[in-house]
Amino acid sequence: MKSRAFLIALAALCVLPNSYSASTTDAEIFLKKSINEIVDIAKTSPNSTALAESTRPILVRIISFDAMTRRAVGPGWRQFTAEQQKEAINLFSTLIIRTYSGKFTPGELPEITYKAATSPSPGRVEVSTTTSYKGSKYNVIYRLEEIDGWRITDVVIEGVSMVANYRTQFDAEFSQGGSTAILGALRKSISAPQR
Amino acid sequence: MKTNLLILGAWAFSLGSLQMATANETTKHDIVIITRKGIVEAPVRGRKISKDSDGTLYLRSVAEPPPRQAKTKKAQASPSPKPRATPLPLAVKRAPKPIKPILTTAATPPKNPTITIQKKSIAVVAEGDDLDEYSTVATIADPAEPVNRGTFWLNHQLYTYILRPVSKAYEFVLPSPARKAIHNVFDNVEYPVRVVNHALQLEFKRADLETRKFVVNSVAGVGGILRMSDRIPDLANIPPADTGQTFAKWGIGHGAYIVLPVLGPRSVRDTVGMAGDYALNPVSWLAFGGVTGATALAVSGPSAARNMNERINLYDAATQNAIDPYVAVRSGYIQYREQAASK
Repeated sequence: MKSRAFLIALAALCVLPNSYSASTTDAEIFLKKSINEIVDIAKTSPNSTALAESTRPILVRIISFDAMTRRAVGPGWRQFTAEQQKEAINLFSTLIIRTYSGKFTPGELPEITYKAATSPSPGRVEVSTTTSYKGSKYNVIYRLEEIDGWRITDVVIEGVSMVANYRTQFDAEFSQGGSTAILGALRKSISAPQR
Repeated sequence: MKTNLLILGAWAFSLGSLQMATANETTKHDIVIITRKGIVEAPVRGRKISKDSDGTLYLRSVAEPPPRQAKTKKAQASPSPKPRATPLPLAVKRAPKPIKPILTTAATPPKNPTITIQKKSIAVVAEGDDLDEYSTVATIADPAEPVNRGTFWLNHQLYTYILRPVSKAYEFVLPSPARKAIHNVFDNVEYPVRVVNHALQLEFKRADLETRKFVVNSVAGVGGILRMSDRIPDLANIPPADTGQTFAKWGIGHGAYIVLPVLGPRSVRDTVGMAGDYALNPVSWLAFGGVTGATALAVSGPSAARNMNERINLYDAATQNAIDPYVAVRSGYIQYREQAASK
């Protein structure tokens, strides 16, 4: 009986690391493919607005806006009604797409070097990259989670997390006026003219 | 013995013990005990609560007994001796009788609150909660926020109406390869800032790699115009180093957050560090050496233009699509500096 349990444990040890690294590889492949798609669009886009519009279908497919919005709002998310949650995700998606695509200038393409991916916990993978862009180098980490397939849940540029940055801003809004204030601030930010 | 007693009324004893010497006999009972059965009052005899079927807690550790007059002369000299143990915090107030258990939320405060047990706030969530993943993001004290916001607004006007047009003109006049060459040259020239700080951080291997990188770029990269070191894996990704980062590694905290005119966000520590970087930057040695006029302008002009261009781009990246640009820049700055210090 004991030897049987030992064999099962041994088999589990042999299998677990393989499945772990397999999921990490899957996430890496998914990310590379997704970024290549975006860079291909950036090559041909005439301006930032067109770039944002063109990349939207891809970003909607590869980013979990739901997880991003919930975490950016924080525990106050529970005080949102279902309709407010839907509206917040919709508005925040637009903001994230604009923020992400705004990092690219049409015509100037980044050179991305992928480093070894890590898995901080099962179902989560962090892919570190070095991105050379406009003469400068940036460390960019993509955080991915397995949510109906792999999805990007955060982008960390030089240590600055996109979600954490919005979280600090939403915290201030939420403490002043709750969910209504956050939705108002999102609408205001989206209607602001782009530089 | 049952251990199901929760004593929140111990404060009464700690205060009451000080008053006991004055024989405050008007109150019938001295302490309030909350048990699972409800709230009960109990008299105190000496330093003990009388035993009952629910068990007894002795409050000996809460406070010292009243001083005995005849024990020592010292006791006579100090009429109000300090309790030996720290009194419990005032968690509840002594209530007018009869005491009733009251469970309230902040939304409906009782008329005469006695014991208020607040429900968990919406912000208090279980450990590992998905919603609170970013609760531990780096923050910085901002005691001068109103002043900082004023300076931030002034900088915004300066960037919008003066520096951004100049920066756009810089980008328009100089093609991308030329801007990249200027960036590379001045990045190479700033080698002393990095090597000295690596050494001060006791990162001697990095200081050695930084020196090799400087030699490779200066010689093979024609004075640093080309970054040939990128082709050598060991030299391609040496972490940057500056004086503020060195202070951080020495254990010096950020201090307060400040927004400097033109230069933008800094912590007090990094402002001091900036002075160190300035002193270590060969471009500023011209000023120390008394070089002025066309020579100084020829050297420092492109450096200033490059710095301004990068600052504007960073500012735009941080504030575009922000909910509150001031908070976005502050959060971005502190996260960036925390990451730099952790390398």
